[in-house]
Amino acid sequence: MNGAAVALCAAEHPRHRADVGGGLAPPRCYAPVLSAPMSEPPAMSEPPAFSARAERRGASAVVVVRGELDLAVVDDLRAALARPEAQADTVILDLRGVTFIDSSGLSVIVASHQRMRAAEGRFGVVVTRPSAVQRLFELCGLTETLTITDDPDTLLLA
Amino acid sequence: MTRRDPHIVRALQSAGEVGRDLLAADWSLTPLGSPQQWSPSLSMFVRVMLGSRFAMWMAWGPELTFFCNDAYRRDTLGKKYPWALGRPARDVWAEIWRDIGPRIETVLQTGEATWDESLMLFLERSGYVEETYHTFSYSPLIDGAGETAGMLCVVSEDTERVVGERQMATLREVGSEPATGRDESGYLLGAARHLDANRWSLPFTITYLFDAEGRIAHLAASSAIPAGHPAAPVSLELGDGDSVWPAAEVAGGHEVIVADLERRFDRLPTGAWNDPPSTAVLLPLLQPVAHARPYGFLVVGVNRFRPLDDAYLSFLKLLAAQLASGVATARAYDAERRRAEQLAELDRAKTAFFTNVSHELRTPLTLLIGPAQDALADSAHPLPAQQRERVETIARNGDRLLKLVGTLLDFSRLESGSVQALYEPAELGQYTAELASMFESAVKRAGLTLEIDCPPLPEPVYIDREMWAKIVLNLLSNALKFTSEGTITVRVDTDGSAARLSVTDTGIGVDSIEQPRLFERFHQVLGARGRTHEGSGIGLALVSELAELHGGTPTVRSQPGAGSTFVVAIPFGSGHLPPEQVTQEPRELSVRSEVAGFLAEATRWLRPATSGAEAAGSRSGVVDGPRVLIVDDNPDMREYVANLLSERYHVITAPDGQAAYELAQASPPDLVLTDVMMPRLDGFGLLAALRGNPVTVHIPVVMLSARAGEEGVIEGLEAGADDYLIKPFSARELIARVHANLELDRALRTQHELQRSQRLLNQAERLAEVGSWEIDLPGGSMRGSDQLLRLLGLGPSEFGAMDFRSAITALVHRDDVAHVTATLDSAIASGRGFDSEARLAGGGAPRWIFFRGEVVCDEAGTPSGLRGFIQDITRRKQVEQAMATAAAAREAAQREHRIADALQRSLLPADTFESAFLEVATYYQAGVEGTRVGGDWYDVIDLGAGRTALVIGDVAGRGVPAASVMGQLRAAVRAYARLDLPPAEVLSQLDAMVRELAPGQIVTCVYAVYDPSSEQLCYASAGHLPPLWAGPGRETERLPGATGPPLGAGPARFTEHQRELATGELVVLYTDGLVERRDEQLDEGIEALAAEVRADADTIARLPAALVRALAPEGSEDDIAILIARASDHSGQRTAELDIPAAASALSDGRRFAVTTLEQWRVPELTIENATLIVSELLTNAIVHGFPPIRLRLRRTPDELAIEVDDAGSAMPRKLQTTPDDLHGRGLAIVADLGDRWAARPNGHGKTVWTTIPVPPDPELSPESATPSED
Repeated sequence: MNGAAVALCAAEHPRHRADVGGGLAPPRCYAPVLSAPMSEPPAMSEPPAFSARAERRGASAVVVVRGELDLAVVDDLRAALARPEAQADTVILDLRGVTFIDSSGLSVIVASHQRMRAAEGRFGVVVTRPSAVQRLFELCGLTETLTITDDPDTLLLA
Repeated sequence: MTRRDPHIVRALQSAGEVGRDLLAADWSLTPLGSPQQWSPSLSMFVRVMLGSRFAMWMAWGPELTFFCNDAYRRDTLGKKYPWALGRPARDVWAEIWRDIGPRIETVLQTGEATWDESLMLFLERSGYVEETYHTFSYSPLIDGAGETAGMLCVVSEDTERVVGERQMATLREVGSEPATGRDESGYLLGAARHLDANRWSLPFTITYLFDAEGRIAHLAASSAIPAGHPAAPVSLELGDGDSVWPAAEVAGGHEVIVADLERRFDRLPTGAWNDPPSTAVLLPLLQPVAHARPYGFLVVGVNRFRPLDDAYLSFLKLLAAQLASGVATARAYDAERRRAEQLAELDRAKTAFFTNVSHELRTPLTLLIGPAQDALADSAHPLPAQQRERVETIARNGDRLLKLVGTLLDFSRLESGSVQALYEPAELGQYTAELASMFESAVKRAGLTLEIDCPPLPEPVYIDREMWAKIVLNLLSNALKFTSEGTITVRVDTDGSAARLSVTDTGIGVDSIEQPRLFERFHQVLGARGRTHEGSGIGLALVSELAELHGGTPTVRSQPGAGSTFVVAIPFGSGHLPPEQVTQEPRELSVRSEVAGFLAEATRWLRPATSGAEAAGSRSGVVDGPRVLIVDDNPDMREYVANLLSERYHVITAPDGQAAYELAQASPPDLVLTDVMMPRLDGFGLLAALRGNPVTVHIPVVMLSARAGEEGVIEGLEAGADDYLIKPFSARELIARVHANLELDRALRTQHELQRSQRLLNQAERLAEVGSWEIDLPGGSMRGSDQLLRLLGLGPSEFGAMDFRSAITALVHRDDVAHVTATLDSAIASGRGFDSEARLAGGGAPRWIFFRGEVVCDEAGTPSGLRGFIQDITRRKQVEQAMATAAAAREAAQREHRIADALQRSLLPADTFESAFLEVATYYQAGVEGTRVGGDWYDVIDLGAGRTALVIGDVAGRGVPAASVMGQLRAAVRAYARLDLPPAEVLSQLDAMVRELAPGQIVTCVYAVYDPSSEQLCYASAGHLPPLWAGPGRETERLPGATGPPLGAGPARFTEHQRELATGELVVLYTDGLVERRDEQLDEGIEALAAEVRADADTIARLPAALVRALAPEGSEDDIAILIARASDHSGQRTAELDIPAAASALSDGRRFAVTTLEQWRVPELTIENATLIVSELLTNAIVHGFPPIRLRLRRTPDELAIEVDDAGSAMPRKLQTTPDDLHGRGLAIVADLGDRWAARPNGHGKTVWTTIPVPPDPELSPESATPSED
């Protein structure tokens, strides 16, 4: 059964599709101000595209998220978590591909965790250690409440 | 003839494990023989059974040999497999044969199938006896001969369903146990009844609750086990190991499983079973608050016939949660109920106290008034005129007090519900007109017109006549009190559904702010210009309560200056009234005495107006004595005090502060004796006015007040009163105080004169009359000048009859005789001259003389006589004593000055203020010695992100109270600054605060905010001196812009002004001590200051002291506070901004911008990560909760990084306390955790939310090397 993962959902945010790689494109509305000793607008590299897809691994569902997790993409993440493929007794949210997360992203994760707890299912989050994502979970005191690991296999086998 | 089944062996071989095990069984021991020998029927049934996936077993043949299939083996047989195969069924199911044997027998004998649903069976399939439930049917198996040769059992196990339903029922019942309306133990006892109903899953339970300290657990309820049982002691000590139950462990919030019950307890209840539990579970009753100690715990004896698996445990946890939530509800309910009871009890006690006190007062009052009235009415022994006046005063004021007590009593009766109104039908118009007409003469005497417009109404109105009279009389009395000219109109009419009484006056009216509070108890409109300041503020409240009893409400329409109309509307008919209090019989009732009380009161207010000549002006007494001005609005009090003082002083009286001030200006009295509460101008106002006028500034003022307590005294003395008397006071005390103050005043004046003209005094001494004398030593005879005789008060013959030794004894004070004699004797012996002082004999105050003399010798050198002079120095001696007294007083004043000074200094901020953007220099100096410190203060407040608030203020007045008001204001300013309110808003808040904190106190203040990013100073002023602005090489100017009124002057609007404050430019804030001189115009002082201010120096640290030296070289009487702030060179600061569209898709741009910018600014990596997160959170907030346009701004100063997000929304964000379960509100918590400080402030177009993060200093950013480098 393992390895029979099928990509069921690829929610890519339209915003990032157009200019992946357009690293030097000037940001909109940029306005240098005052007498600040700044010679030129800072060049800004584009973020990796956001995606979230759900797969089955045995009786478990694994939702793999990549990119930046903020207000702009929380609906996409919610949609991915609501897909039939993501419904299982054990749901694992793999955030190792997430480069940024803020409180908007956290609220979706906490909501999923509560939903799974109410259904007496299991819910785990996989993060890279150390990383900004992991640090934010610690800052918000969520490491006590949520099952957080850097190894998805421990969740699958448990 | 039947044939054996030739394929049976193969069929068994291919029927899985069970088939193969069947083959392997030792069939030789059975009556059936080997499978090859089985009858075709048996073979067929075995094959059918093996092929089924339903759990089945069968028994065949005389011994009922046992067969089963795979499903049965798995679900039911457990460890008995494969031993059971081929055994007699009786052996296989020996433990339940009692249950199933008879059933099988029936099937075999009758050939009829049985049906059992959820039959409880105790199986031993898992190594222990287990409670199970099975639904099964036994059906007969017929062999080839048509005989019943065996039976087949089809079975399904429903243990989990049965147990689960039972547990669910328990949870449901416990959940339906009401928790409100009872205490927690009531609830737990109720819940325990439901637990008791399920002795299968809960063989016994015990519920313990922890006490408040968490040291002892008390048994609250139990089921199936009696309280006091060894396993259920009524209390447990937590420190006591776990001798009974490990209570301390479960107090930590975790379940504890106790598996050794047999060892712990001898005999335990067994519940629904025959054997007691061997295991118990202790479950905490958790509070909803995380980490709080549990309420208590639940002990459950575990059914030993079921495994303690996840399902069982989660049932127990749900049960514990249910109980915990019940306890929480019961406790909350209980607390709420107790609070309500306490409040009700307090209310009852208050009312009872009120009622009792009022009653207690009435008796002595009645006994006071009765005899007084008897005395007045006694024509047989008429009182002499003067006594009559006194007794009238007693009677009048007794009446007034009695009426007041009566009103209070009415009120408390209404409150306690002990008053029973009796409603009877009345012709309201006529009755009201009667009542009003009784006031007519009083109104007329007040110079007003009374109009009564009370036509008959279409139908009767049900009223309590006594109460209605009180409504009408109170409204009339109120109108009379506040109307000085015009008309009072009493009108009764109807609006169709209700009868309306309206009382209209043309009096002072009521401000719209005060109108809603008029009917509140004890509420008096402050500063209202009535006929009198007397009153308890209870009349209108009583009207309101009485109107409500009649189903009506009072309303007021009023316009200040034009008059007021009070309206009471009550419905027609009696439908709205309690039927048992309605009668159709009119009562006999006289309201005459009630009316008399009101009239007596009104008459008293009117008297001053009718005898104004008496009230303001000279009164009599000793015309050439000291003049005493008595000020009181109560004519009785005025008259009483005047009578007391008129024997010794020339008495003048005035009915209020204004009249008194005018009198005092025209002809200053020697002393003013004034009441505090008066119309027009009160005692404090009068005091301030007298002190403000050089003509009257020295007049001693003694205040009289009813306000008891230390506080009242201090208030009066601080206001500058010379003395203070609390009502009631005795006649003796009053006279003594007045006398003392007049004398003290005289002594002080003497001292004053002395100080000013020492030279004149010397001259006076020289010119003073001196008496000369000569003594013949041999005979002792004396000669003296006329002046000497006058000094000694002797006639020439008397003097001539004395020799000098007898004269000394007779004339010198006996304490000084020895001294004088010794002085003279020693002079005679030595031949040297002498001088000394001595007192003269005689009664009264001692008279002092100075004497000087020399010895006269004859030709032989023998002393022959003495000659010299004496001088009266009594006056000088008195002056010296007065000076010593004054010096002591001065010493005391200096001590107080030092205390206040220290207090004030402790309230001022520390001298140093660090900011990269502002250089700040401050100065404070208390007023010169001998005067008391004032309430000057300054403050410099870091608002964060480089912005700084500058504050300077001046609390008028002196001494500790001013300093304490200053301290409170300073703290308040700091608090408002913390909220980052704009300057005008800060001043408005302070204004309200001053009015509340220190009414009448005047405070001036400037509040300014310097923002380095815009280089602007934004400021607002409340009556303060104009701040000065100076730039290098520029002429100093006053900062423009109107100032608002001083704080405390009343609701005011303050205007904000802006002024650029570029690098090197400075602003000077100061108080009037620096610029105000007695002989100078204020403007000249400010000009002089402006001329001294220089912005050119390298540092401004020494500038304040230099200004003080230049402007107040001799120091100032008043305090001096100076605050100078100069904008520093901060070109090294870096700023970057980005406009953000109000769309979530822009968040990533904002973060990218932050990362790129901060990398260029060489901010450490981890700080960039945190800053990026903050940027994301602040922008998300602005996008979700704010309004566009949104702007992100990053600023890097030498030691911190500021992140600011502007948006056009005005609602300020609040940080919420979040728990791990919260879905929202975490954003600002993250910002607060990561940032050093954060806050939101209005910015004119909306708000700015900002936070700062400390960063290591960047050497490039120091002002010295401000040149930007290219990255």
